[in-house]
Amino acid sequence: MSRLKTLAFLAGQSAWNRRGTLGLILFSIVLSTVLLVGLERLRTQIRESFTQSVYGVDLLVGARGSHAELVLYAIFHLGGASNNLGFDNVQKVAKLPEVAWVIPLSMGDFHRGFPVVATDENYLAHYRYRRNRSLSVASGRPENGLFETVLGAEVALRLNYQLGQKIVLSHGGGDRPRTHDDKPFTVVGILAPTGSPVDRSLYISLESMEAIHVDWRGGAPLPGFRVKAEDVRKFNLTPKSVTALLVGLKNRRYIFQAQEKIHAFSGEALSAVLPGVAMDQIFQLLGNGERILFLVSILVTITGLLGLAATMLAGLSERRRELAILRSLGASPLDILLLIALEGFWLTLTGLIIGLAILAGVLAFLGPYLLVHFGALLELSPPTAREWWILGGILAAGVIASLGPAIRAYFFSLADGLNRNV
Amino acid sequence: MVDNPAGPIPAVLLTGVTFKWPGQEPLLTIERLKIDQGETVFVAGPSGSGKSTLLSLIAGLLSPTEGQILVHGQPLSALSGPKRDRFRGDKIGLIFQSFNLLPYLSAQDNVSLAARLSPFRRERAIKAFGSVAAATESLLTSLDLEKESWLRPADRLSVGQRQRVAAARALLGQPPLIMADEPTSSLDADRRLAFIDLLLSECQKAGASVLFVSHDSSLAPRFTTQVSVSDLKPSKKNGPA
Repeated sequence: MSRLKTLAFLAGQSAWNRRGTLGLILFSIVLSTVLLVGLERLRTQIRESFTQSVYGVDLLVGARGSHAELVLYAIFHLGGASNNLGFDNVQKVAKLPEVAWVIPLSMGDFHRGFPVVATDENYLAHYRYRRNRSLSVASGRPENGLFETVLGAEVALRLNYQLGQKIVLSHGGGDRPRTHDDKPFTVVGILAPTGSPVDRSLYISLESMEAIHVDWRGGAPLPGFRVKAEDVRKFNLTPKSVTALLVGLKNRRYIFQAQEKIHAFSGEALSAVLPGVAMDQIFQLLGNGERILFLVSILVTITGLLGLAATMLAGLSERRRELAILRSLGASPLDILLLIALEGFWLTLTGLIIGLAILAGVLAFLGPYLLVHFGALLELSPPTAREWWILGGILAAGVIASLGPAIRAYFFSLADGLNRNV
Repeated sequence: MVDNPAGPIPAVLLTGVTFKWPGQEPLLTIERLKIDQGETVFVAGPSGSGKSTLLSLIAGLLSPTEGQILVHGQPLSALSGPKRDRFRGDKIGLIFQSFNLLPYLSAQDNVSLAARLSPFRRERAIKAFGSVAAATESLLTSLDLEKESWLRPADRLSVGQRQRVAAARALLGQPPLIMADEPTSSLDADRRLAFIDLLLSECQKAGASVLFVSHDSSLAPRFTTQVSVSDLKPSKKNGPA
């Protein structure tokens, strides 16, 4: 025991004496830790922000068609539906005994490339992302009346919009879309950033969607027929159809029952899709990026550890004499081995702790910025099981990397080290 | 063991020892060298005559090509590497020409390191002085090292101070054999003699045998025995001496 204490004392004193060199090794370990754990976190968060873009939605309902397409437009607001479903079906789904709530979505309009989503108050009440978080407004109010819109965080940021701003929606995407310039909208609220597709969308009410299209038929304004904005209330603004439905069940156990019932509706053919399954399928297709990221982080670690071993090996010739002196005073080769391994252990451990502290600092201070500007939700949280494995791996690899030089030191000729008159 | 089996065990006994690096002429041949306990031996000889090699052999830092070396009756060849390190740490105090202090440790820590690495010397230091720290301080005091330099790192000590720290380290815990390799080469003549007297009186107090190697024969009269490396070579005639 006292021998180990002596070795620890010597390792500490000697390390302090060589703090310049060791500082460099420490730096490379810190860098490896930050990069590896940071990349791992980024990787899992990418997957999570994809697969958990929507949370708590048990079924997606749309006109019959490709499941992947339904996920893309209902959740990611990408592309468009070829068919709508009638509003009577929306009400039928809502009345199913298994169903707790439905969120109708009506899409197809855009504002400067950002999708416009028409929905009702259930969206705010029931939409959840990432481990059960609900939406909230950063400024203004979430409720939108006729010709009022609530913006996702990224839309407001990119277009630099403030509350009270008047904006014009356009019909469909394309190069020169027709605009609804006769019926401008007012920004009444801006949502807090979520790291989900919500950030890239503009929200209006189903009535507003109906209102801007009262004088349109089949994707074009009716020739010679104009309804002024102040006159639209005279029309029935109850939507006739929507693009998709997000459905929450009272109990997930009834998911297949509900699915079957919706498929069996008479009249139009509907698709009811389990979003988790469909999103996993899409992510499999997009998962290459994730794998590349993982490969990069492994390469980064290997580089870092090779640097550690190389620096230790290089530092060892400086230490030849020091180690020989210790042996001349009775330290055994095993003591020398322990001395060096001990140094490797402490050095790596210190590097890990500093690396984690830096990462935590970066996440705490930069997290909100990353969320707003890159839609990346990186948060401060205790290491996951996998990250613990990575940390353990770095520590083990650090000790092993230092063992190489330690074994070399073991075989140093004693007399050789002592007789050099340095 | 050889000619006087009833007497005390000699501190050092070399018989028929040869050392050479592979493929080279023998660097050192010694027919017989015996150092009794308490004897102080001055080994003279020009540079390159193998004086340092002799010390390395007795310290077990090198192994002889041929022959046997006994230190306090213990044949070194019978000890495995780690055991030999331990044996050396316990029984031999070494003072090197280049002192071989750890530059980052204080004078005090350099001295007490000998006890930290050798339980045997640690026990003896505690037995004689109550604690390793007390033993260290006593040695540093009697070797005339000013108190204000005790806590100074070794690389900030003067040459003379380093030498005395190295001597204190060798003496701590009273190892029965002290060996010194040209420890005075960087001192002027007056201070050399002063240092030798100090060292020898400390060794005498501890009852240690001394093997002192130097090319400076002016120091030789201070020792009880003087030998030259060339005298130790086997005579040209056949048969044992």
